[in-house]
Amino acid sequence: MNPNDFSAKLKKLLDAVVDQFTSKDAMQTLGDEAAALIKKRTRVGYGVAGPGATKSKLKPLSEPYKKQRKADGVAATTSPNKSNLTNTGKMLDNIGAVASKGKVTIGFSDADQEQKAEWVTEGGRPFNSLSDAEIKQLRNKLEAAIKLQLKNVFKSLK
Amino acid sequence: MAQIKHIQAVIAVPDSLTEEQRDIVARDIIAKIQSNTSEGISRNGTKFPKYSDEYKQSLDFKNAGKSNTPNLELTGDMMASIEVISSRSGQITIGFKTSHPDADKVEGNQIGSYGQPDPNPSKARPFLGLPQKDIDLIIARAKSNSENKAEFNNALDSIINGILGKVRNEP
Repeated sequence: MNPNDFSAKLKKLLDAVVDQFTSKDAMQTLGDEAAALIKKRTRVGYGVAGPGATKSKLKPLSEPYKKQRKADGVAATTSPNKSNLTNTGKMLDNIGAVASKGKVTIGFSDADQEQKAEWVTEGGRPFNSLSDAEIKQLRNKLEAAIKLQLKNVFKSLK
Repeated sequence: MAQIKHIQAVIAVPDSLTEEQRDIVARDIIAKIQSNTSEGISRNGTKFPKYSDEYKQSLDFKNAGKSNTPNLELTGDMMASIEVISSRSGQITIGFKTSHPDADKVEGNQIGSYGQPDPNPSKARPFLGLPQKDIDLIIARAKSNSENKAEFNNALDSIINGILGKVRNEP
């Protein structure tokens, strides 16, 4: 195939892919996956200082707070000594995605849980960003989905 | 600190491959390793040893929603972070830098040490690499029509960066 023909067909196809993968539904799926990655990483005990940063272990809990957690009881997704931003589990459960065409925002639907997130972040345990490796995970998923979409169409370019 | 020989794999490729073709090969090899590992398949094409009962009972295992198939994914970060370390005529090196936060975890899986001083081959889950027949197939594919594939990969990267740029976090 003439290189110019290939480039023109490629551009047309990929423009269509961009439209499809930035639709409201597609952005919702992407946002849900991003929210799930943040919840999982935080429950395992890692935070992220900001967008694209490398994850790091969440600051340990203080001894008095560990004792309080042991006495009061904690959710099944944590233990009294584990630092994973979980007490009842409501804050992390509340993380979700709100999408529109070409945009998705990861955040909280409940103002109380959002307030908690701000407190723990200001207290030295930032967590609500995508880490460098999480961005790579989303990139890999997107790449696989786009390639699958284009697989059959590209046969016609050969 | 993890040893380079345990966290990187050197893949021999024909000297005749161009830089562009080596890029395609490296990308496809990493994707195949990720795919194999997600299915519990080692670099030799064999199945990984099963997870221990102790690990399966751990809080992290449950919180990560892991299945019983060993896929080396807790947060998923380690597998997503495999990168091309270097590429030159005749060889490609893939894996992790010693400064990577998961380097010790990679080494633990590769040699079965898991934080212990000695390796334990019976517990090892070596994942960095592919059976030679898979590498040969990837090289053969890269040789054909590589200019179009390189252009496709560049366009794909550009699109994905654009889409990921539309994700925002609040607060």
